[in-house]
Amino acid sequence: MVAVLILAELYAAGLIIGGIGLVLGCVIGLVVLFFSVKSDDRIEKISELLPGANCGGCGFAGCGDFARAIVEEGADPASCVACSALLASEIGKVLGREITVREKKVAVVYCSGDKSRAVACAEYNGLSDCRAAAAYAGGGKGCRYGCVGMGTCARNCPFGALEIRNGLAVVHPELCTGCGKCVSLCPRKLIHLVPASSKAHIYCNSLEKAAVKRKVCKAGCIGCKKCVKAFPGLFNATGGLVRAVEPEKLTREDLEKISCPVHVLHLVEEDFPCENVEKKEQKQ
Amino acid sequence: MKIFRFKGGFHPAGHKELSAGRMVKDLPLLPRYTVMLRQNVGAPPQVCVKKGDHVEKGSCIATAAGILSVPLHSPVSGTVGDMVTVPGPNGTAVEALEIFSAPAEEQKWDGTLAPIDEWRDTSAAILKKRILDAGITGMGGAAFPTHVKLSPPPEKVLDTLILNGAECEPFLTSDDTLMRLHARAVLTGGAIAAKILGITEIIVGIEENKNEAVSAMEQAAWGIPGVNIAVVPLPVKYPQGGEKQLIYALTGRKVVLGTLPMDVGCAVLNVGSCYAIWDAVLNGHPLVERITTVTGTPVVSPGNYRIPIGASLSAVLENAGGIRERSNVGKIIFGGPMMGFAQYSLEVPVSKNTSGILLLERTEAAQFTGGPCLCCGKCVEHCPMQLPVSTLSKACENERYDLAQKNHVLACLECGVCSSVCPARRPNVQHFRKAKTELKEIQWKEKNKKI
Repeated sequence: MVAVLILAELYAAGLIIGGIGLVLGCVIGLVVLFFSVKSDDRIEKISELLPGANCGGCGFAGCGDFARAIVEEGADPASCVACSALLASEIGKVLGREITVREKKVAVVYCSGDKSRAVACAEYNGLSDCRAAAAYAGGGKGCRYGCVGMGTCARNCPFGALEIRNGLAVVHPELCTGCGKCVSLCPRKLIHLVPASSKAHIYCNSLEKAAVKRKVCKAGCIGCKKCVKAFPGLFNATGGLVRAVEPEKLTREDLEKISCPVHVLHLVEEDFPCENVEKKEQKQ
Repeated sequence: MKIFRFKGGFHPAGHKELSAGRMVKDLPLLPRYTVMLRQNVGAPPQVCVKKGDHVEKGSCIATAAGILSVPLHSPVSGTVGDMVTVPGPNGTAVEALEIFSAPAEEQKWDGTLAPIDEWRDTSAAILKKRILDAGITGMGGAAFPTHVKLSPPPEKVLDTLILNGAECEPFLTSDDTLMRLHARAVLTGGAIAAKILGITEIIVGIEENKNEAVSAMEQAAWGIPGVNIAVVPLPVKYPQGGEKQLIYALTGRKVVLGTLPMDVGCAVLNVGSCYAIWDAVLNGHPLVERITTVTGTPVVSPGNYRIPIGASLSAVLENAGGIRERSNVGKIIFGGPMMGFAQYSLEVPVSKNTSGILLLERTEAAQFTGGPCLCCGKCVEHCPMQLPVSTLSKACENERYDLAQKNHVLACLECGVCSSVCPARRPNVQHFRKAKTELKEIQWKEKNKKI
């Protein structure tokens, strides 16, 4: 008899709890039915496809905001600089239209003055931040145009594509997406975006005369115009500085033919100047 | 007179005995001067001479460009050279005009500005014009044009002129020397400024450790009729000479955030500027030289020197101080050890606001390590502006400039107290300076976006 009573109480408790659950469940169901926010599930799909680094290269607040803008405001998915062609076609499939990807760009640091080559003119003892140093005397290096080398760009790169090697910022082109965040951060304005197919650059940014440059850096473009004479169409000389105008057309053979005397003109893939110089010196 | 003690601050070692108590020595004539164009806050003046022109000492070489600008004068008789780029005292390269001196016997003052002997009967407008023509700027540090300071908008009622002779920075004694030797001239300059402002109350604030200056100024005060001059010895405490701190100490009035001294009825002038006013009005000499302290343990004969603007640092050290052992010098600072700027080149020229040239030994020069904040609160306790320094410096370190702005980083006067009391040796002032420039850039960007 006692056992039956206990059983009945147990069932009753179960029924009560179950009932409450059922009622609340229905309430939740109704709330969802009436108050749900209607969202386009394409936004979610696209934001999953986007790189998710929130670099801001597209001009929107982040990848989520950009996905919303693509669907709702008709923003061009191609303005995502970090998207590969494969990702872009996936996004195109979600949207149901064809997307042409822009030419990929990568950053390049127009300086080869690392610690071993740029002459130190002072001992810098302040904040280890390029922007803070540039606002005062510009760190310890003598050149007023070159890389400060305190890594503000490297710290802020959302893709980890910049590295400080021996006091000089170096770009890893395979990681760089060309979002341009470093371009606006660099106080010396020496990071530029160039087509990813570029093969070689002149790694110097100083507009000083050659004599002044040589005093502060062993790796400054001396403006000898050897490269301009060899390939007049590919280079542009302004004052003491030469720039490669069409860096994608240069080849290894061309560079060997030019043989830059200060070795500031070199291939992107050997963009680690201290090693280059050693190799060159060994050859000689 | 009641003296109010401002909250915060600290007592650094003075080291004033190195250079104090001596006469002012003159620098010998140098062959070449490089006169920096931008020596004042605001627009740099426009050059009005060309290469090869002959100028006399005190001839105008650049005219004022705009309201916040003052003309510039040649420190020496000689020939104008090229425009050159020299390293400026704040670290960036600046434009300067080269002047090659004529032989010593041909040195003479340009007589364009006639002395105004009867300044009491001269109108305020003429006196103000003279101060502008003489190119006088604040000589304490910021180089704010003095004629602008003496032209408050008509709705502001001023009742007190404060002469700043506190000189709270360690090592520096240039204002002390000036007050000791030229007390009457300084007070006359103050009286001229008071006349321009139309007030009669002058308070001179001097730190207690300058006894001779206090007594010299007290004696001289009797001889100046028409104004009530009170010479007030102030407790020795850094930064007693900060504008806001000085006004509070002498009058008990607080210059709150976003207002100016004129909002509490005060105008503050450095004693050096007063001397320059006296020189311009009574002698007709524009501001072309200043008394600067050359001091520090590596200097052979530290002291106060009358240095023409445009003399390069190397020439000054060669002729005025002399270094004991070159390799031992750890730092060369323009200004005092607390707020001065370290120099990296000996080509930097002396300008109108160079109050001191300080050399520190390697062992004396503080090196920042920038370790993590210990949250000890020493900086907050000592900040003369009562800012939450530790919070601010962490916000700036993490580039949260919005938080820094919310915590009033813009009110920081960069006195350096927080950095010197910090046991973790954090470069707080550098953080704040960076935050200020970044905030300025953010504001500028937003402004441009709206347009």
